[in-house]
Parts: sequence; structure tokens; C-alpha cells
Amino acid sequence: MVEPRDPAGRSLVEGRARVIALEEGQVLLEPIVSSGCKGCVSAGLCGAMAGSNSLAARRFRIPDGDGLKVGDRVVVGLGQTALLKASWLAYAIPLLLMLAASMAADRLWGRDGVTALCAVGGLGAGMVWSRWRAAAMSRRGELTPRYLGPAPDDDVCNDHGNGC
Amino acid sequence: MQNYVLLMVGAALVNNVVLVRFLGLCSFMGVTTKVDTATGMGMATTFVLTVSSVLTWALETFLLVPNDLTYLRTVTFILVIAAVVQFTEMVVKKISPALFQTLGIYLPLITTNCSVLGIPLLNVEQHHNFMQSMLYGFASALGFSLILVVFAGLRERLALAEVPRLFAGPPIAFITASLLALAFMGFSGISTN
Repeated sequence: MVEPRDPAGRSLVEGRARVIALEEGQVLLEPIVSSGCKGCVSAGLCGAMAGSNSLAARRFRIPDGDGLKVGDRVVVGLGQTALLKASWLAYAIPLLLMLAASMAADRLWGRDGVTALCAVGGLGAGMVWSRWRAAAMSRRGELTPRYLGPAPDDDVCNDHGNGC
Repeated sequence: MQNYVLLMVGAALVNNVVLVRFLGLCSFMGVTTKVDTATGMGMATTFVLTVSSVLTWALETFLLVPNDLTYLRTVTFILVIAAVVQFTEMVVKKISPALFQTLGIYLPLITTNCSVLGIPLLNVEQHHNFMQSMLYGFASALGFSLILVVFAGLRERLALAEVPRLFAGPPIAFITASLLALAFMGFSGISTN
């Protein structure tokens, strides 16, 4: 098993997507829901399988340059560090600021109402900081998946033959 | 302060949400094939579980108990958790569409994670105040994330190991999970929270 890597040698997290449209040097892609999801007994209730609207919201663009056509199934990759950095920015920073603000308020005043208000303030400040850092990462192209190649034909079913 | 530390150690290690309370087993088996996805899911769950613990504490304290509506607790908490997940998805999408594309897939999965409902209910049962509720939710989620990442690491190694055909796939994963649970029994007695 060979782990996918980018040109700099960093390992990538793979995903499958379908080409939806070609737009001025860019390709619009829609993620393909994994066959594992299709086999799940909660598939009808799960948000990840909630139909075309959910998938449409997750469409993304990559630069064209590989002669892709509408309907092609492709493999895209995102750097492992980018995924971790994105998780850190989106969840950990707001959460840590919320915890820090509420602990400080608890030490200073010790009243539940004030502590709760400070927690909300910390969460808001964390989200503003995340937005600023994410914008910088996005400008550097760190959050953009890259095209790795066409998806194999036998990729529709999972290893156990479920969800075909 | 010491009480808070004990509460967090108890929630994260001694009474681990997955291996001791047997909550969130669906994500435990489903999202632990790769360390990266396990980390992403763990962070998303930590965020949602902590915010849900805070909101459900506020709801219980200021709405359900004063109006004698505690019989509506479970259904109310389910609605609050679903709303928190949707809210988080909207906020992440708003503050950074790029982050949303990268991480958005994990968020809806959390609504079906029973630990996110179980921890707020345990908060009520143990009469936690605001700070205790938040730290208990945060520490429980950290324990959940720790198990997810450790188990994903083990499964990544198992994928490269020569496993007898009879045990390949889920059987060896369950055996590994049981050994991990046995290892975590070593924390028993450190804290009772």
C-alpha cells in the first residue's frame, strides 16, 4: 500500500469527487459520499447522506490543467497538516479561548451567570481569530485540495462489497 | 482548582466515555480507520460536546427546573444538540468556506453520536454547576478523542500486519478494542467522578 504524497513529499488525505462543471480555468467538483455511508442503517437520517443539497454545499474548485470532463470521477488529496491545522483553527482555538475566559471569570467573580457570559465572549473572540487565520491560510492555498488522478472503476463498492 | 482537575481526570480517563460508559461506539468503530480523520472527528466532537454541555446546563437551570418541565429534558437536549451542530456548521461555513469544505463532513455525523446526549444528561444527574458542566463535557470529549486517535493508530498498524483470514477486519478490531478497554481499567480508582 503506497501512501499518497504531494510534490514536497508530505502525505495526503484522499477523497473522491465528481466533476460538475468547467469554469474559466477551474473545475467545480462535488464530493462522492463514501459507499460505507450507503451501507449504514442510519443513512436515511444522517446529515452526510441528506441528499443533493448537502452535497451541493460542499462543492469546491481546483485549477484545471488535466483535461477533465464533466462527469469524470477523480481522486483529490489534501495535506495531512492542512487538515489538522484546519481542525485546530475551526474548533480548538474558539474552544480554548472559551475555557480560558470562563476559568478567569470563575476565579474573579465565581458567579455562574457572569462565567457563562464570559464563556460566550471567549467563544466569539476565538471565532474572530479563527476567521482571520483561516483567511491567511486560504490565501496561501493551504486549504485547497489537489487533483491526484482518476478514480478507479471498481471504486464504487467498498472492500466488503456493501453499499453498491 | 483541585476539584476541577480531579473532575477532568475522572471524565477523560477513569470513566472514559467510550471504554467505560460504552457511548459513541458507532464513531469509535466507523471513523478510526485513519489517524487524520479520527483527529478531525475528535476535535469536532470536542467542540460540539463542550458547547452542548454549556447550553444544556443553561436550559436546565433557567428553563426546565424553574417551570417544572424536567420531563421534557431528553427531547429538549436532543433538539439543542441538533441545533448546536447546525449552528456550528453554519458558523464554520460563514467564517471560512475553505474550512467548511475541509471539515464540514464530520459535523452532521456528531448528531448521531450518543455520547453528545449522554454527557449533558450525566451533568444533570451529578448536579454540576456551570464550570463543572463545561469542564466535564470538555474532558469527556478529550477522552473520546484520545481513544479515537489511539485506536486509529492501532488500526493503521493492523492494516499492515499479517492477520489470520478468520480474524481480518472487524474481529481483530474488536479484539484490539477489548485490550484497550482492559488497559484503561488500570485508571480505576484514581478519581470517582
